[in-house]
Amino acid sequence: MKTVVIADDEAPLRDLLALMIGRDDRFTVVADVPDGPAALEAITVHDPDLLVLDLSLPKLDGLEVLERLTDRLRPAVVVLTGFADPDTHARAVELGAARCLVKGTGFADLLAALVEASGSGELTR
Amino acid sequence: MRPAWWVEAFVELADATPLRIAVVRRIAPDDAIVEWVNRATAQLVQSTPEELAGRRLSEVYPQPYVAEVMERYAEAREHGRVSYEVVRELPAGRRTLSGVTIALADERYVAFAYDVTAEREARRRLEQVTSLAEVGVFHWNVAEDTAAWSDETYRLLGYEPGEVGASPELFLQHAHPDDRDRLGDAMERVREGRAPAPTVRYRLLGRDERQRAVDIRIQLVADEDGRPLYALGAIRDVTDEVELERHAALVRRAEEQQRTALQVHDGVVQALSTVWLALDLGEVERARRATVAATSSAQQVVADLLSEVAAMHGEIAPGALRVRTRPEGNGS
Repeated sequence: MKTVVIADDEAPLRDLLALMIGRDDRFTVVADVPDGPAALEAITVHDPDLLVLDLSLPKLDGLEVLERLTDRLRPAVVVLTGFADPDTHARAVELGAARCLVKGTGFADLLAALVEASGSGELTR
Repeated sequence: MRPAWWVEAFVELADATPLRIAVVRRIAPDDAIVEWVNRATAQLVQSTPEELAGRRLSEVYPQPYVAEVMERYAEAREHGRVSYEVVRELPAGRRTLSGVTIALADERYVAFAYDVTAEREARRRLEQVTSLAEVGVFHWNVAEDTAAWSDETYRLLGYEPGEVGASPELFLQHAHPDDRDRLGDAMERVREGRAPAPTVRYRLLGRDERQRAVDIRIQLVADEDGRPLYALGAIRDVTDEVELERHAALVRRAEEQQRTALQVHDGVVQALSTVWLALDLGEVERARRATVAATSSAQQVVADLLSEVAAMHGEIAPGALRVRTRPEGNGS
């Protein structure tokens, strides 16, 4: 079972993401956090396989979190963002994200993306 | 008949005047005899009128210039008189002389010249300073509708200094088409003797096809009856400043758009995404709460944007809230 950390500042959405991912037997959510520093802290503590990362976060945004992930502690990252522009997505991938999904239209693909990313994630860890 | 005192008065006057006067007689195509010079002229070659009288021009005047002087005599013989301005390296130093040579009878010539060295040097320095400051200067004789431009003014219009004759009309032709009427009106005000606006910004299109933004400041000088005599103008190239202002405005606009985008994202997109996911998961009550939050956030974003518009324009004008017509098929 793959461990997952969810980082999103929108509490109701974070709860629903945890609910959705938790319903899938392949994943267990070990932490859900509201900002960038908390995401880095959760990664240090839990060393998760996967990180579901919002880009618009308080204190440190998602791109800054990606920048600060070290090789030793680098879960496979699926970005789940409200920003739909390709430039932002390209920048996130450049900084190491495995996939970028748009909130709303991308929810249906999230579980598949996590499966796909966790496979490639294990290869890179 | 001239009175008896006339010659004495002429000699006194000739000795006292700073005007350089010389009378010569051509004795060959390449030389002349100095018949008489006044004191100011003799000083140019560090001599006296008495020492120079009766000597050959080729003996007393620097050799490199003699041929040119003789050519001028020939020209004066042909046309009666000839005006000139020359720069000479003389025993008295470097001099700029502006003069006239007139042909007399019996191959004699009288030449008189002003020493304009100081004026030309002052002008040269002014040109240097105005070029350094990138300020063009012009003098506009309003009564005769003629103009003189500084070197920098020529450059601002895309010309080499002196490349074309300066004129108010040519200057106006170089105004940007969208600014030409405005500049034309300002020039008309000057012609009518009315004070122009202190400093006005225009765009100029140079002969070199470059567009420049300039601030033009005009000072009008009128006679006691208020009739315009001439106008002095200073033209400052502010192209770089305008470009920086434009860039800064674009940056400010981009920052505002980024702020609005984040406000819409955080307040509306996030909440609508929550609605979407809640409905997918069958969490109807959560979806309802998220819908309320999304609507409230969207209304707040719209209220903030309209407040900014009102702050900039003073009020929301009637008609500003009219719903835009949408293409058919996109809903109402």
